Amino acid sequence: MIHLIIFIPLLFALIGLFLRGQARASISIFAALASFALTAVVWIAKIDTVYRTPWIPGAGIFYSVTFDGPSLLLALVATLMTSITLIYFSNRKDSQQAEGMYPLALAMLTGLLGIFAARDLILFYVFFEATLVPSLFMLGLYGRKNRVRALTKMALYTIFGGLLMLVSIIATKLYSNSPSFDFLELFGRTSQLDLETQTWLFLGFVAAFAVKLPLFPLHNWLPDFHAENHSSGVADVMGTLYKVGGYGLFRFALPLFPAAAQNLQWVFMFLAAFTALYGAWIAFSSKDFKRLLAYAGLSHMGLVALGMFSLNPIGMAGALFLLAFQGVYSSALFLIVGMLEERLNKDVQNEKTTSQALEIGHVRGLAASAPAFAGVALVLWFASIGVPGLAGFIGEFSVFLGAYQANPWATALAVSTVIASAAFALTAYQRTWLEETTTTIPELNARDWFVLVPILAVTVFFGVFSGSALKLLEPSVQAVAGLLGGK
Amino acid sequence: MDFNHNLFALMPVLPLLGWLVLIVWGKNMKEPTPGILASSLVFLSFVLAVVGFVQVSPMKEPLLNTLRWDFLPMWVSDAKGVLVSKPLQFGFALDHLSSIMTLIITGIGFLIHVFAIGYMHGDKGFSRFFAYLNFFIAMMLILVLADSYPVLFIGWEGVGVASYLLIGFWYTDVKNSDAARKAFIVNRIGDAFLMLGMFLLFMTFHTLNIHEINSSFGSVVIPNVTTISTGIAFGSPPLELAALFLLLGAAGKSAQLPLSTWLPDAMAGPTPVSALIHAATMVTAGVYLVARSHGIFANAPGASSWVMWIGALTAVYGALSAIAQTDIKKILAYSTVSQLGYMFIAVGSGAYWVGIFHVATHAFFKALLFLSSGSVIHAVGGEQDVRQMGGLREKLPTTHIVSLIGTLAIAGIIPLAGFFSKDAILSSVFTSPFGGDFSGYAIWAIGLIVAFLTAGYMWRWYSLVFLGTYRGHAHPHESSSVMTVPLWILAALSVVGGFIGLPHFLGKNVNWLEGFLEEAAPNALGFHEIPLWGELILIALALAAAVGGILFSRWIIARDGVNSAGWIATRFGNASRKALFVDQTYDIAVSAPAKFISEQLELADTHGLDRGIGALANGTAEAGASLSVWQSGFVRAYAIAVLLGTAILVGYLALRSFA
Repeated sequence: MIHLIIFIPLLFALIGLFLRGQARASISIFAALASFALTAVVWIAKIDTVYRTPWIPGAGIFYSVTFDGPSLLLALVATLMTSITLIYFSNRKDSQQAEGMYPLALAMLTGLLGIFAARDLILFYVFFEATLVPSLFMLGLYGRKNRVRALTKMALYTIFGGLLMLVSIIATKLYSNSPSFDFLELFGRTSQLDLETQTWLFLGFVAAFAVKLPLFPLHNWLPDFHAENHSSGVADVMGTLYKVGGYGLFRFALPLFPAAAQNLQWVFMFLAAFTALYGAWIAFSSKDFKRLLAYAGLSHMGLVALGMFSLNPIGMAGALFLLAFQGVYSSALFLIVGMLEERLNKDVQNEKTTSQALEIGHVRGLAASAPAFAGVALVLWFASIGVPGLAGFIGEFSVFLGAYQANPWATALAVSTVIASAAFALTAYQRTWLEETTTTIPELNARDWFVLVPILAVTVFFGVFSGSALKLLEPSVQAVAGLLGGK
Repeated sequence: MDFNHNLFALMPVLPLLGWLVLIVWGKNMKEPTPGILASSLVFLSFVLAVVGFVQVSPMKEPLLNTLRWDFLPMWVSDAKGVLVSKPLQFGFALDHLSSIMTLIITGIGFLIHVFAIGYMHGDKGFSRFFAYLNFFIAMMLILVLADSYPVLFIGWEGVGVASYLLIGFWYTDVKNSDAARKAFIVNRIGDAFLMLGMFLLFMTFHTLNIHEINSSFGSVVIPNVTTISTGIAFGSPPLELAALFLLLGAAGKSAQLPLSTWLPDAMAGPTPVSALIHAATMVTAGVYLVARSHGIFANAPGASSWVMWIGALTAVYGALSAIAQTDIKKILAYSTVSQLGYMFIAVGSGAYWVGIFHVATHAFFKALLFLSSGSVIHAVGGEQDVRQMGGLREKLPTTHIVSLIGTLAIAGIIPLAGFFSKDAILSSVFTSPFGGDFSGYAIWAIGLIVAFLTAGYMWRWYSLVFLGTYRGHAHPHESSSVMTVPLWILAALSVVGGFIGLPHFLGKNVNWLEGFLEEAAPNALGFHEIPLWGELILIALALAAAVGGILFSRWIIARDGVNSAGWIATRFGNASRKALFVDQTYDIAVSAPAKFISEQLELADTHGLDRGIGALANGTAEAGASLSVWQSGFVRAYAIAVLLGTAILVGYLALRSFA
């Protein structure tokens, strides 16, 4: 079952390469939905078996996969959002000109599911890096004018970080005398290592995850990545789902090197808190919606890192919750921007009209002609800035609550983002949707609603009835926190 | 499911349902259907509030609903230091305190809904308006019914969202949108502190359940002696700090200094909104928060005296700012800021029932005054400048009578509602255990001055609108009965509302409210006793201040005329009209620098920080696909080649082993 879930998207991506037009779109959407449905079955039937078979036995590399709680929650979000995004994309007028998006998105989905399922460090590394390839292709093939610059930047940052992790992974096995790269065999051995060794190995992992999160000062690829990608937002959604740095910390870096994590906790908590505030502060002056969302995302990731490095169960549970559900509402904001761009942009190929369509405040007062559209956008913005009653609050509040128990000062710094984020979100919102009307746009149509209703439903439902998602996270978080001697 | 225990939890559900229905189908409904639907749902909630009141009256313990679910992840360490998962539950509790609040919210809320059916007649956004109003009522009910701080916070920020939507209701005017945004952001400053307060409380008490925290103080707390069950001593630093955090949170929602500047701007919203949200209910949430957290504040003497001082300073600030305003609603807005200050004085003094008493009486007369203003604005064709009014006594007889009642009630003329609650505040601060040697008397004196000022600016408001001759150009006409009936009801409440909290010297059990709140919000310990003659002197002084204020105001208007040109032109008048320049100070000291830093950071992050790896990327882009960079001998370029090569190799290995 689990292999089906992971590889169905890739398989259908390959099949899709031989198809054109509607057939490719349909089969791709089907594949993503099938993967989502099967993941849901795993959730409902509570299947959590670990599948383990030798892959490169000589090197001690295993193909070891499972979906436990946190993996499952992230996989559910990734499959759901990929499905929704592809449906959205197939509704767009310009989808024919960027048909390659379908197989690339599916290939990324396989990579993401692999990242969430992998329990062998090498296997994890392979999925972690392989997912980069379709992501770079999306940017390279369908990006905007300065895509080469953005692409190079992203590749450099990511591969640098990744390589450091690879070195750490290999060194971890060597130093711990483990027979394999399997997490379960490494774990327990690594905690016996002395602090200095742990610290170096830990930093190798953190380098990769800090780039991927991203954390200040390794974040600089992110704004360009979003700004230069295809204006539809498909690549942005996949990029948002690909923010797996926080997950990597929780799954590998923290439990493998508890002493190093505790030792460096305060440094990273301050760095994370600073990242959160820094992102929100800059977002206030962003002129372009894609960059704004990039900095908003940076701010979220600062909070995720804050929760993880709190080493406190409440903070880590909050970070995982935030990570999962920002995949819903932050992704959805990219889709909203895409829908808006499609309504305003007369010529997708024209760099100038595309820039104008993405510029904040270029047109104003859109709520007058499209009130429902404006309402949906507002709900998603409120979710993103952590207004309670929506899914964003659960994660954000828990991160703060847990982090405060570990380090009140860093947390106080991070809490100030709730002010900054309200300022930038409502300002950007007002400049576009409110004020005197300068232009009119068509209201949401049935197809748009089909895309947005599930997103709204998830955002509201898990903002109030968060229990079912929390139950998924609880055992793993408790185990990791116990290991870290969390307070 | 236990019906009796969950019935009260339906209170917020009904208006929430109304919101949903109106948002989805409201556009297809004809006026006044949305208004009637929304009003009836709030009326049903009011019925439930009455049922809940009857249910809970004889009970000692709060009524908890049984339908609960996990809401937030939480772990606590057990005795052996083992982590135990104990998720926070989403649950409601009804006790005497929240019951009083639900009655005010749904009762006044219903009247204002009905009034709005007339007031919003013909507005394009008629159904949207009632959708938002219903949403507000739902959130406010969640706020007061919550049994834990995070659930309270849902309502807390929820009413902030409702307030944002309603201030900016006519959003095409940039001024309204700006006011709405400002309100939300300033509120969020308070919210950030409220969150910090919650985190510290969790650190101290290992729970965020309000009733668990309050009851952990035990029944008897004696200053400087008792150490309570959790080991948190009276006046200990975490307790004081948590209380200060809560105070700052409360200051945001209740427009207290230093977070008061959003409320006068909030008058951009339609007048029923000003009455309901920005006078009668939402802005009193801060007072409710302090009363709700009475266990914490009663054991934090330092923070409590801060509460009193913040209240006292805000009361003076609001009153001084109100006296020279020219907008009919702005006068009332600053008056609200000032009256909220009074409420803070009350809860800071440790007499929590007094704070709630003034919440109730203020809700009656201030809602009345705002709705009367609405009726006036409606009648004179949207004019809001009091200098363009006057002489409306004959043209709007109903509005005139109820406004006079409201004016006398807020001024504190015996035996109207404001007299009793204001007297209770002044005597509680005079005898407060948190007053120390000096604070209590100083704040009492400030309160007396504010009473004088209040009577003065309210008489000015009344005179300029209703007395003399009409100075405007419209053709004023009395409002329809859908608007005047709510006015009469509120006027009646403003007359008799004070009798729920009669002063002690009239008899032992005449004070119904204090007795009713004895369990849910007991007074802090250690109030001084004062003799009967002392109490009578306090009352006489308060009354003298009120009468003196009215007489003084009459004298000034008679001397200087309507424009009061004589003194408004002075420096003092100017400062009052600009609300003591607080807004301007914030613009210069906070907003402008924050914006400047943001712009600089944005520039630096896009261009400056880009030097390192970004510069290399730049080079690549500029050279197009050329290989020049690869041959440049630049060490980093080689490094990239190595890295890319490695990545490809690993990928190849992976693929091969699959095959």
